[in-house]
Amino acid sequence: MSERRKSTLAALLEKKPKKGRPSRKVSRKNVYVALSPEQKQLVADLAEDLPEGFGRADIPDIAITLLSVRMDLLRRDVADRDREMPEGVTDLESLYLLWDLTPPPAEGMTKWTSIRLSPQQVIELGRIHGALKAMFGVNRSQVYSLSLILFEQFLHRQMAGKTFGSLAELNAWIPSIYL
Amino acid sequence: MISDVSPVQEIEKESQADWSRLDVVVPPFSIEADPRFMYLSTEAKRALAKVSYMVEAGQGVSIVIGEVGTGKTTLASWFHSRYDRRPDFVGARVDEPPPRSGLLLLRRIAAEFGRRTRRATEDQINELRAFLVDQSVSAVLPLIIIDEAHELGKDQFRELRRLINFRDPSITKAFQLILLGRPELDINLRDVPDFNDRVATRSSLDPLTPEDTKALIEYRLLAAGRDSRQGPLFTDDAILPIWQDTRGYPRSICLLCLHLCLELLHQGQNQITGGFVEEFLETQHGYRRADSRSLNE
Repeated sequence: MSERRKSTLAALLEKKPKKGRPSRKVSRKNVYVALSPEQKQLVADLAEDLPEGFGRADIPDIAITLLSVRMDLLRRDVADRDREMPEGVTDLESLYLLWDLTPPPAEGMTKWTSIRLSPQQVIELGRIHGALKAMFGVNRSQVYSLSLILFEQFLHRQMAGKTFGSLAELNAWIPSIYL
Repeated sequence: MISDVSPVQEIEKESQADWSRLDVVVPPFSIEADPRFMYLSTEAKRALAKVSYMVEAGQGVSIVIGEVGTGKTTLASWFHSRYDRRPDFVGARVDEPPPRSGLLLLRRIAAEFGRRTRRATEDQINELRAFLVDQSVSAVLPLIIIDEAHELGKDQFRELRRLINFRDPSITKAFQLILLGRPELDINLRDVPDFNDRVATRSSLDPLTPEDTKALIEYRLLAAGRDSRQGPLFTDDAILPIWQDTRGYPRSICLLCLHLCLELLHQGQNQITGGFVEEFLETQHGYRRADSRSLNE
């Protein structure tokens, strides 16, 4: 009897594929971050400027990949010194300024929301969050906000006019232009 | 009898016993370049981040431009104190370059690094190059910081260029150089394109905004030991007249705030309000003249 119920559900799912989020070969993980209404609007605006074949759901993955690459680059540049971060980068705002980004307002109303990340990007976010929390005491939401602003700059400076076959291709291209 | 002590120091000394009445341990508004009191405005933070990145990544020359009293010397002190105490850096700070001569500048740099000074330019260059090779063996990177760099002449830029151009198979990174100076520095650099091409980053220190002025005052009081849970010593309406009178130049802000604090102590009051500042500026408008001798620029 239970077998019958399962097959019915499967049949129902086949007939009515899930709308909204695109299907993935590797399932994505929910990560919770607090975003302001302005940041949510920014995501919506960025989604409109994405190259063909990409959607809003791809933004978190690309943003985290980008931040990860930039952090690796920074670490590599100061690697033969004794630190991970240059002496003059004293807080998270310094990172914004180093990369010519506009820091977000200090305080604002935020709302918890979930973003969906590929497993590798979840690991990357955790790694960057761990490093920045140890250095500057920042939380995961602040790290994700930084990645979003970085992605905004990247989208308009580097991605403009480019086409990519897939998200994997884009993710592979990002390190090649920086590292 | 002529005293060697500057008027500001005299005033501070006279009032030393009274500073505790403002609940601070040390005078909060000294105009000396003290990195402990360095307030990081957005521009200063940007300069710190970019210059330190370029230095540590071994990119060569970094430039910081700012008008008189915008905090260049404090920034130079900060760079020197931070990098000189690290085991992987050795710093040489030239507060004021010697006039024009390239050899004299090289000799000054060599002396700052504790190396022999030579009589011939080539010998001095070679001495400094040997120093770089020696340091690179123990993975130490030499950093040269030159304040008042707008006073550098063409010959001096030429010698600096020769110094930072030096590459040797045994070294990974060459001398790192930070130049801090007034806006004339940018103009002077146009006359030395060979050197100008090697500038990796340019930062500028602008006067502060009213918000930054308030933050500077609060930061200085905090750094001087005042408890942040206490009521504000400067009320919000006091900030705008201070900013207007000083045009946002940090050194001028500190000088005015120093005098305001002394006046407050003299009058036995406990808060600096907008009215207090305006009255002070009306009655004591010559306060700056008395201290002009103590300013180094």
